[in-house]
Amino acid sequence: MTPDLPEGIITRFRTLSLERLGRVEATWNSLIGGVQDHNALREVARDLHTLKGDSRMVGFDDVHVLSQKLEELFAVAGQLDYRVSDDLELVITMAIQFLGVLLRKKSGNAVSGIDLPGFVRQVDEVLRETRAVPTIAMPRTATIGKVRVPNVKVSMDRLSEPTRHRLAVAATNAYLEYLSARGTTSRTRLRGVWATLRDELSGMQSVPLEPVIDRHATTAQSLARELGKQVAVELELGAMRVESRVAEALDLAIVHLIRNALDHGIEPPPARVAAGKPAYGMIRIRAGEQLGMTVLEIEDDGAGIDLDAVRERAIERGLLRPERAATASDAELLDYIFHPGFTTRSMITEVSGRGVGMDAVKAALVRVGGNVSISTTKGHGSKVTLETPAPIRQIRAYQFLSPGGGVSLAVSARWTPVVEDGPARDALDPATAIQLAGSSRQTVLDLARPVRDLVLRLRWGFLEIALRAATEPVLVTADRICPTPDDYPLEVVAIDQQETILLRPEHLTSLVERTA
Amino acid sequence: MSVELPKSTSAVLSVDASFADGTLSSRFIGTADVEAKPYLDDVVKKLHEEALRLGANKVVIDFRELEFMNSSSFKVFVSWLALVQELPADKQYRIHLLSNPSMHWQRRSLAALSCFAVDLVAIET
Repeated sequence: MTPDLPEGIITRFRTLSLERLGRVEATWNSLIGGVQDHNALREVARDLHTLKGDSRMVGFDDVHVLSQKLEELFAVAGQLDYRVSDDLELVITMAIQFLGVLLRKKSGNAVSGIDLPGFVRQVDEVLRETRAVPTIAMPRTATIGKVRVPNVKVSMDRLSEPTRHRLAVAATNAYLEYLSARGTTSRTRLRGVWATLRDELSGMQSVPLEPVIDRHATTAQSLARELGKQVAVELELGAMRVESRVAEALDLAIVHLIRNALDHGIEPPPARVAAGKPAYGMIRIRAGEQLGMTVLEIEDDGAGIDLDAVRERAIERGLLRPERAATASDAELLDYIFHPGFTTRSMITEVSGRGVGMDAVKAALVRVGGNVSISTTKGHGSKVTLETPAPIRQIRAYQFLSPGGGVSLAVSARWTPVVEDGPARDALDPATAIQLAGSSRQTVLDLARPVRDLVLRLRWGFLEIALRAATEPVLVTADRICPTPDDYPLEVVAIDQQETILLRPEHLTSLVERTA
Repeated sequence: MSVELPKSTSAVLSVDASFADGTLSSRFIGTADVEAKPYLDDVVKKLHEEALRLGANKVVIDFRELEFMNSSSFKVFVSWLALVQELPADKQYRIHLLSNPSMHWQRRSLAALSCFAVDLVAIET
C-alpha cells in the first residue's frame, strides 16, 4: 500500500471498490444465468476500469493486476457473446472472489498464504486456450447488446521504475565487462550487449504523452453521448514526453478530470445555445514545459465551478468558519476541492462522483513530485493545471580521466573538487572502486601506469573523499543514457557523445569499507 | 467415527464424513451444480463447524468421485477457505483435496482454488 496516502482515502477506496465488485458479480451471475443487460454490462466495464485505475492510484498493486485480468476475461467472454466454457466461467467467478479477498486485506496486496501469481497463471492459461479455439458466435435471443472492453497490454515503456533500474544496473555491468575485455574476442559482442541494453533503456526512460491522453479523448466522445452532450476534445501535446511513473499519474488524473468536465462542466446543447455558446462543448488539453516541469492544462468552456456551493459545503464540513466564508478568496475555496471526501451535492453523479476524488488525484501527482491547481470563471469554464517534473535527461558533472588515462570518469557537480598533487595515501583509485562496484569478479579495468598522479579531494556537505585522477576536473553537462538508482555506485553517462562512468563516491566508499 | 452431516436435499450430490486421528475426512460424490448448491452450502458449513468442534488438524475432501463442480459451488469453498484463514493460528486446520487428474475440471479448478490459501490447502492425486 502506498504509505503516504491518508487512511481516509484508502477506506473510501475499499468501500467503493467492494461496491463496484458487488455490481460486477451480480451482473456476472446474471450472465451465466443466461440474462444479458446492456446497461449492466456497460456498468461492469466502467466499474472494472475505475477499479483498475483507482487501485493503481492508491497502491493496491495486486488488485490492479487482477482487475486488469478481469477486464481481459470479460472482453474475451464478450467476444464469445458470453457463451463461455466452464473454465472461463470458473476463472471469472474466482477472479471476482479473489479481488474481494484482496480488497479486504489491509494492504490490498497478496499476503502470505495467497498465491496471486499462481492464480494469474491460471487465468492466462484459460485466456490462451480460449483465444486459441476458433469460435462462431451465435447470437442469443436474449442478447440486448454487448460491451467491448479494450485489451490491456503491458508495454516495455510501462515497466516499473525498480525493473528499469535493475536493467540499468545490468547494462552498466555489461559496459564494464566491455571495458575490461580489451584485446579479447568477446569485446565486440559485449559492446553489442551494452548498446542494445542502453538503447532499450533510453526508450523506456520516458514515454510520449500523446497516446496516454489520446485514448481518453476518444472515450470522452462516447461518454458525452451517454450524457446527452456534445463535445470536441482538442489536444496540443506536441512531442512532449514524460517519465513512465508520471505518465501513470497523469493517466489517472485525466480520466477523472475529463469525467468531471463532461459531467459538471459542459452543459447540455440547449443550455449552451441559450447561454450564447456553441452547442458543442470544448475540452482543450495542452502540454508545455516550464522551469523543469511538464505543465498539462485541461480546460473546458462549460459552466465553471459553483463557488457558492463549494463555500456552503466547506462550512458544512467544518473546513471554513461561517464568519470567514464571505471573505474567503476564490483560490481558497477551490483548494477545498482537494480535501479528502469533499464533494458538493452536484458533484455526486453517476459518472464522476464515484471515483476516489480530487484528493486522490492530487495525492497521485504529489507522489511523483507534481501538483494540481484549478481556476474557474462562472459561465465560462474551468482550467485544471497539472504540473509534474520533466524527465531528467541531463546533469552537471565534473569529468576527469582515470589514473591510467584510459577511462573517462565523472562525479556529480554537487561535489566540490579541490585538486592536489599526489600521491595521497587516503586517495581511492577509481579503478579499484569500479572493480568492486561491478557485479562480476571478472570486471577488471586494464589501466596503464599513471601518467600524472593527481588527487581530487571531493567535498559535499560533511562528506569528503579523495580520488586519484590523471587530469583536472572539467565542469560539463552529461546525458543520462542509462540511469541507475541513486544509491548505486556507478552510472554510464554520455558527455559530448562519449561514454563516461559517473561515480557516486558516497557509495563507492561504503563498498570499499564493506569489502576491506 | 462417523460425522453427521445435514440430510441431503440434492438428487445429484451426496456427501459423507468421518473423523479419526485428528483428521476429518469427507467424500463428495455426484455433481455439484446449481441444483446442489443449497445442500453444498449446508454441508460445507457443517464440515467447518465439526472440524472446529472435534479439534481436527486436517480436513480431507475427496473429490475423486465428483463429476463436476460449477463456479457458484466453488464460491462456497472460497468462502470456507477465507473462514479458515481468519481463524487464530492454533484453531486453523489444513485442507487436503483428493483429486482425480483425469477429470479436466479438477486439474484446473482445484489448482485455482488452492491459490487462495496455499499455506492451508494441499492437492493430492
